[in-house]
Amino acid sequence: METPKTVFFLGKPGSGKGTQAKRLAAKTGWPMFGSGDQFRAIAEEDTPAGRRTRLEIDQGLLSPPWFVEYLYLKTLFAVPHDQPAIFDGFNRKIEEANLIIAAAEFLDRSFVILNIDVSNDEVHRRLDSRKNDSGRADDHFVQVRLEEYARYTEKALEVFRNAGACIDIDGERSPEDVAEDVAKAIGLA
Amino acid sequence: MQQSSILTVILTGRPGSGKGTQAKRLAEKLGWIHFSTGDRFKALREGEGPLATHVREAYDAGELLPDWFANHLFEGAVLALRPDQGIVCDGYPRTRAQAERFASVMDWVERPYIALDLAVSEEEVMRRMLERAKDEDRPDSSTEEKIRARLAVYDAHTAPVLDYFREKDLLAVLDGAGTPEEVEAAIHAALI
Repeated sequence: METPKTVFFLGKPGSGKGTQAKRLAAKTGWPMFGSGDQFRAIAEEDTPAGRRTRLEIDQGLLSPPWFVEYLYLKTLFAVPHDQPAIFDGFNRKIEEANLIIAAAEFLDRSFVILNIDVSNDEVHRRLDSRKNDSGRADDHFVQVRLEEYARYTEKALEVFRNAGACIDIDGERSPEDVAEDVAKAIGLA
Repeated sequence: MQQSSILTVILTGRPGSGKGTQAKRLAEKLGWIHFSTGDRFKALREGEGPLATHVREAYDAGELLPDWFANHLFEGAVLALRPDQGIVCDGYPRTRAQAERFASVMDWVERPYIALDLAVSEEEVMRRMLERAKDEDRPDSSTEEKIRARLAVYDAHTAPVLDYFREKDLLAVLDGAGTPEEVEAAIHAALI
């Protein structure tokens, strides 16, 4: 297959999608844009938007949906046409999915969603062991994230699937095996 | 000139109402940003690459560009403003969805705003546009019939936007039939 210009990763918390995005960036040298990083970068700015974002991060508030969309487009429009790029995030809600599809068509930029598929049981197993190692992620937090995934992200995934833009990858294996499938899925192996 | 307390203005009005001229004057006089979607699109279509191609095709076919794209241009302009800097919007928001988005953005950046509609009668629009068509090459407004069609399209698109701001009690209708200086004075009076 022809390698898509924009590669998105999607998956539950603990699916390893962040790790896979980083691995692919290291392997290809393509720039990687994580929604969390973009938010933290904005929060550093001494502007009204920066101050407002900083406040939201500090108080654990959600940014408005339009701001997520704004940041996505700002990031995307800054990528040169011929430059492939990797995105982690920006694709967790139906509205975001529709925007990704519309913008890709507008910019004539092919894209793919790599869905790193893991079961809820596996998510709990992984995050429990992570918690024991590093004290991250309490059970309640994992539960909230999984509910958000079920409520919003599964519907976004359906939008991508209907657009023929989604490739499922079995995420319940070693990072090396998953990375190999990722490379194959986008025609790099 | 007295500094206005409202630093965000949406200027609406039928084709021929003079809103473009007034938006430009307001921005020049107060040092505000003139956010004109028409100007932005014209600038974008001159560029290169798929984005310019797409904008050119849509523009030349007389299509409106998608809401998400107009929203994005507007948000970029607003987020680049200093808190004490004003902005006058000309050609945005153009749909109900854009108006809702506009309101969310303003809430977030905590900028009070007002929509000013420059009201002109159909007869006055007709008179002005036929006059203008003599000087400029404007095939879309060379006959009464074409002007009436443009007005119908404009009214159909804009009515929901005006309704939206009217419901919020954030719409002021100004008489746009006077001289440019009279209209300008009315706009400044509405901002204080």
